[in-house]
Amino acid sequence: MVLETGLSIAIQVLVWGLILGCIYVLLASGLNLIFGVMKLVNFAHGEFIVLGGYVSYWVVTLLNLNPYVAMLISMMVMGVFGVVIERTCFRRVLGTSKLNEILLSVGLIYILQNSMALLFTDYPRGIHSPYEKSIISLGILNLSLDWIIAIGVTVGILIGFYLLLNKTALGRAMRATSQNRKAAMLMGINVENIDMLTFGIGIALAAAAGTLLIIITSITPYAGSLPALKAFAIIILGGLGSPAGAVIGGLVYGIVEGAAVYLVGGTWRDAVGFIILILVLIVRPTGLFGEREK
Amino acid sequence: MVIFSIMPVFIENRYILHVLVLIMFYVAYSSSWNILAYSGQVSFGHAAFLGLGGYLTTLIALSMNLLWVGILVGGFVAALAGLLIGIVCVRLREWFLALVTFGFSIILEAITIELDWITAGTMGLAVPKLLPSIQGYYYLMLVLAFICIAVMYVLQNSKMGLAFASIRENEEEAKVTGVNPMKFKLIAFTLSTFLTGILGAVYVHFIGFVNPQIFHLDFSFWPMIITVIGGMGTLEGPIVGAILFEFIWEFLRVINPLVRLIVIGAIVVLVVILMPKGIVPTVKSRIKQKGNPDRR
Repeated sequence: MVLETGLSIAIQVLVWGLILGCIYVLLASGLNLIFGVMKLVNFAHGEFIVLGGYVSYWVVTLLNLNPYVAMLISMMVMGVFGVVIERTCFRRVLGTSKLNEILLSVGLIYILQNSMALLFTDYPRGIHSPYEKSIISLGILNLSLDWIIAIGVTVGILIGFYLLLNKTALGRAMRATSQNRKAAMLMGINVENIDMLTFGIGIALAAAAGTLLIIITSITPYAGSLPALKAFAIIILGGLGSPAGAVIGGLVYGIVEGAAVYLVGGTWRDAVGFIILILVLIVRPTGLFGEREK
Repeated sequence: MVIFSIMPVFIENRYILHVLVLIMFYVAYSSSWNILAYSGQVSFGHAAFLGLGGYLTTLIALSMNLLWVGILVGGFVAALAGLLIGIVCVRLREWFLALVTFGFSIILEAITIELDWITAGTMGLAVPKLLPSIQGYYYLMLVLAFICIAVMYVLQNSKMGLAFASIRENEEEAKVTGVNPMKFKLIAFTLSTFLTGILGAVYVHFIGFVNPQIFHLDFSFWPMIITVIGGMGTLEGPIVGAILFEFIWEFLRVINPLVRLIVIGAIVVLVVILMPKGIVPTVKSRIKQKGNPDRR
């Protein structure tokens, strides 16, 4: 009996970690894409997540749509927004020092975060999914239907992403640009357009993550910064530019964080990931599965 | 300089004095960050060292009733931490370093909250007064700011500074010319964090309390924003940046605290896009252009 309960709790924690992991995977994949193709470090990614969540929130609240439909809408809206931001802000700074890119993104953090706080107030918002109350019982497990949908949606998006990258011409262009920008230019690829699209897609993924976040828990305008920085830690751990690394890293991270909160308490939640990051980097300065940076 | 020294004698308004002390604090803090950045290492978690200094001086003051000693201890412990983090970061690329330093400050924040039997967790601790008057604090901060800037000045004109700069520009080439990057990077770290620790200690005495917020990312980002807006690697950059920053901070306080931050963010974005070197270097080169009839 005790063993059963213990096991059940363990699995619940595991699943919760998986859900968290899904969010991180979406985050990390978007970030990885942007970094891989554009070599851009964007610390403001977190703000886009939250913004994506808010867009979904308003779509659901004002138009009364299913939250997962809202997610699609949010992804599209945010994708466009991402393209705009790339065009106006990052385009100018790309290619100058990494530091400039980072600083630009820091500035954007302040603008976006506080604009959202101004417009939406910092009262936590959450979306109540119509499936909220449905619990599915699998033996000793009680899983919320939402959780299952979340995992399903993530898997769906990832598959779509994979297909995009590997089976389409656009995907080929993106991979080429990430491998060797100059050669890609020589081959006739319009690198600037690829940049815009890549950023847009990356942000769309962030919006998806944000929507999941707001469905599963609630968000405030400030909820984005830490997940974004953790996502960076994840892609460093998983290896820059490695999509598989982003997925595995994200899942592992989510599970570890979930377990840590359960075992050691909420205070360590944010620190845990960075502790691991520092430890790993001491041993392997280029990350676990990393490509060597030139 | 002279203006800054005499000013507080005439000003009696507590509020203005308070702001002036903060300006000096930010000038000093940003300068110390600037020193580290001069060697090419951009720290995103400098608040960690600020907080270390702050908490240590508080704990020492509360438990052993020693004031000034505590400040020094804060500085040394911060320097030690800086050295350790530096060792970790020496092999890393710039933005890995950014994450590690950031992570360090988050970890410290968590530890400080956890160990609440020492640190009173999120409630914070009340910090004993160091000096009797605000003017006193002002002069102290002024001296510290002066020291930080002086260090920067000496650095810019010394062989060691040259080594820092060469490492910053291109580490491989620096190695080829016989510069040992690791040694200098660590010196930069220790120097910068020592100063930051001391600053943190004095700061908490001034403010009167300390809590884990001091490790928060805001405190880490401010010196970076200030220095970048003013001009990284320059002497005057942190000064200009800090004054600008404090002005905006106080002026816009009445309008809306959130708008403040948006404005600061917007300034950062604009500066990075339009004046990537910062205000001071851009203005300097414009002046040079105007002075030269050839406009080259």
